[in-house]
Amino acid sequence: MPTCKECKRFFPLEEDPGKGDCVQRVIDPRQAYYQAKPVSADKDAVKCPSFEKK
Amino acid sequence: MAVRAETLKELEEKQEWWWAAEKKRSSRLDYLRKAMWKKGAIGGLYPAGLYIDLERPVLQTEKARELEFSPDPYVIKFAKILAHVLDNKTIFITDHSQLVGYLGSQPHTITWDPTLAALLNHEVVNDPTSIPEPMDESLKTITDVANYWAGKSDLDKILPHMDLDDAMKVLSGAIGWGVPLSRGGYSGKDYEYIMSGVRAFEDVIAELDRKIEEADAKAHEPGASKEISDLYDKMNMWEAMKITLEAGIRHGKRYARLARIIAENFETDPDRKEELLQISEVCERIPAKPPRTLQESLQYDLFIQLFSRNEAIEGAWPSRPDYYHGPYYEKDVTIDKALTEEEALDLVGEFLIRAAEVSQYKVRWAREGLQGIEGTWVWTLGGVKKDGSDACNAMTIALLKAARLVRVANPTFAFRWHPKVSDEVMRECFECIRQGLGYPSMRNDPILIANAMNWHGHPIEEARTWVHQACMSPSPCTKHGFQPMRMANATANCAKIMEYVFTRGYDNVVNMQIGAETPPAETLTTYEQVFDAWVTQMKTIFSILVRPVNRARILAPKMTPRPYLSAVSERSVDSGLDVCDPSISRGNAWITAFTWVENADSLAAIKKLVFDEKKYTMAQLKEALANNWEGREEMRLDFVKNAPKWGNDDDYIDSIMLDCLREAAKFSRELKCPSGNNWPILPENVSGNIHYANIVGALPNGRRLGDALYDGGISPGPGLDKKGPTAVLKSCSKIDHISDGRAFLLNTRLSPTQLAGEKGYQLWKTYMKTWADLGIDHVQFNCVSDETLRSAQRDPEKYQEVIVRVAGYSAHFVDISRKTQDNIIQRTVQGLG
Amino acid sequence: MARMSRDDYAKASGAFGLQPRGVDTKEELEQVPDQPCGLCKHYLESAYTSDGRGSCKILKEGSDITRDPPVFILEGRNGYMLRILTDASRCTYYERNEFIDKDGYECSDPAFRRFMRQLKDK
Repeated sequence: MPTCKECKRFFPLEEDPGKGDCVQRVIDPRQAYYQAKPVSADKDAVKCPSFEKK
Repeated sequence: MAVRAETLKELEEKQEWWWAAEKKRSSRLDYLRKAMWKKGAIGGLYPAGLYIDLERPVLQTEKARELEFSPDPYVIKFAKILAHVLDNKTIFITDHSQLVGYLGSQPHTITWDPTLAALLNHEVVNDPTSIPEPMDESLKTITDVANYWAGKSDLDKILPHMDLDDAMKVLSGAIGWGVPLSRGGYSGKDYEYIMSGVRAFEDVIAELDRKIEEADAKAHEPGASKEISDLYDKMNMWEAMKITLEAGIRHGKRYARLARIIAENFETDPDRKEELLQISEVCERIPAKPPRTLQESLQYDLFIQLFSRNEAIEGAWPSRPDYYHGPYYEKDVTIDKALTEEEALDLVGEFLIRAAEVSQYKVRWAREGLQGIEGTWVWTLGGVKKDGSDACNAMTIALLKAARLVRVANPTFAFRWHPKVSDEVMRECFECIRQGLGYPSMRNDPILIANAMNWHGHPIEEARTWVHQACMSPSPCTKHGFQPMRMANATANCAKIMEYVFTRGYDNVVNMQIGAETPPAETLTTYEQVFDAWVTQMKTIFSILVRPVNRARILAPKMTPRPYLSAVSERSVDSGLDVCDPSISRGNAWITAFTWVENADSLAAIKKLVFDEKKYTMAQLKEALANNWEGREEMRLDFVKNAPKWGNDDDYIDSIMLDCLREAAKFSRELKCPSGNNWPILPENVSGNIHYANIVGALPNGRRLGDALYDGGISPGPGLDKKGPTAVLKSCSKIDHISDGRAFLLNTRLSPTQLAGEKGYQLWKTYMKTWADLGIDHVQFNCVSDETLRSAQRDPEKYQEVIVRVAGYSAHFVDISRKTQDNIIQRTVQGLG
Repeated sequence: MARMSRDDYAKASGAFGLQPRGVDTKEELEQVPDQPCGLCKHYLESAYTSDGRGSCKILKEGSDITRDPPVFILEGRNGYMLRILTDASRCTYYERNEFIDKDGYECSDPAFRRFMRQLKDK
């Protein structure tokens, strides 16, 4: 079962590697941006459409 | 949007300023301006493409559930919920940006705060345009959140402690606008404390730690007293403040980390990499430590504002950006030359854009009353320093220039004019007006400082720090002078005063007895009796609106505290009391008087046609109004055309206006806020004149139910000021702008052709001199031709960027309803000279 | 208004009745009767109506059109408060309105606009 920590977009916190940010590039009809969403390293990523193995 | 083929000169000659701006601004500003999602409602609904952000309400609700049985006092639980949102919300950094921070999880989202009012939550459930797909899943989330907060929201908690009768009249929506909540209105800020550059969040936290330590020691010394008992609450409050500030610092660091991650892992352009590392450095420091540069100062301000909007729905943005950011601008641009003027303009322009995109889901009456914008972000420029010297600086000019480049409708500026303002600055103000922005509105600083001292007893140094609390009302930004929350429901739909004289206070639109049961109109045999009935209705309506605010101000510190706003306010850090506690506020409440001028025009028509000329009886008039003038068109036209109208320098009606204002002013001194201060009135309208068009019945000025009301303040009815601009100013100058009320909004339309070139500036300057000499406190200008506005109605796609002044704010013309558009076109274009 | 408890008042008038039973399930909120008050000519919006409240132009406080048989009170100081989605199938005063403004982007127009998601297709 893939978890967030195995994903290229997961960036662990230095002080607590069990947590981190899922950083993604988003392009909407008006602008492009990078977003960061806090996730736990062991979160199940099986249904995540953005999952990409490191 | 393609860049226009015409040259800049051609576009400027054609006065197509919006296309000219596109050519003039830097590629960064052009990208950021076009990247911005406009959040203002069109008419009453949010435009396509915007969605309610469900992330935040879910975070709030999950934390509230987790804490439900925690032994923490409420204020600490509330602070923890706020911290949970700041720690866990999705954040983003837009390409090319140098400033960061947004309320929602994505740029096109509108944030929804479910903790405020069940009625707001029901609107979200019923919203026809902005529930995100997949609808079924979103509705499950929305109803789960709405159901959790049912009975627990601020309004649910406050309402049972209100007078039921008053509450129902307020909630009918007929006479007032807004709800009496400390977490839903217009929040001033103690800028003298938090923006003076000498302290930031870490310094305040250190002070809070000292306070808690001292109190804790005192609370455990031998002895017992009320003072010791009060310390327990104070320590909780200080602790809650600290939780919010620490969360703010962590939130800044989240942006620092994201910027670093992008720079190190994704970005390939070396220049952008450097910018991202710069953002990272700024956010590592801000808001923990005081800013050192313009970028840090703007970022600091932005965080302060956004955190406050994470705590409450704030419908206004009181601010004085040139005064507080000016020193950093001067240092970076003039002294250190660390930034070129163009680079600084990029930052200032982006600051306006970051503010323009801030959005919070509001109830429909608020959206309709503020069409096209998110709230009244009226930023104050110019004015004097505490010692009375000119406060204008290079940042004043940079803001006015940046506004013309980015052309956002919100924030708008209001300029504190005084006799020492330089010609250079006046020309910059004029250029914004000439280029159709509708701002800055011009405010008469000496008059308004005197007014603040007169009505609320602000000492002169405090009064000189004033900013616009919302569209119009001056409010200082000092320890005791600033107003932490203007609760908007003391906003009176004043046309109802006149209507109720004829219905004995019964409201036929909402089916309630709201006003006083004054004698039947047909039994009133003299004008004086009519006026007496008017005064009774005025007093009744104002009292119904003011009492719930007073009550809520007293309840707020315990029931709906604001730990974050308290944490950035000296009065609360010092005292340990909630920022809204009336005992630590000077109190500077006011009643916004929507739809005011209809009263004077109606009373003048009654006096002339019923009592002087005896052409009609009161019974006939009552019957005509009850039937909405149906079958009485000739009579109606008589009331429109043959009765004197405000704004024509006609003493007959102008004296009636003064009678009305002075009765209200007298009563304002009898009405007291919980701090013991007065409740003066402030005539202005935003777009309430359209929102209320179908809520106000027929009136004796010839208006029918459904017709747009006048555009507000002390502006004459559209097309009814027939004697030119000087006559309008003369009528307005008969009002004592220091003692007859808090402030008076005056709309003026000028012809863009007439304002062209140097001659245009000189004409405007002469007009402004007359305005200043006459002691009028406010004037604002629309300077877009009928031709352009009609073309924009026909072909809105081509005129997306045309801005107009609505009332106390500006909006993109295409974002306001047809009725409001027509109302603006109908306003008289005044020829100068 | 005679002084009464909030609870009694809410029950009598529906005035606080944003969520009369405290909680509405999603299914309940999505139930749109064939004859909802919001589509009646006599339904009056207040300025706050987009949360679902309004009143009747004809019936007064104390009426109850949801009962069988319904109660119609025609005299009184205050209007009968109800909700846009109140089932008016028992109301003999019901007259269906023809809407002019179809998209809801125009401003408050009490008798002639639709504004609620649930009534979009009605």
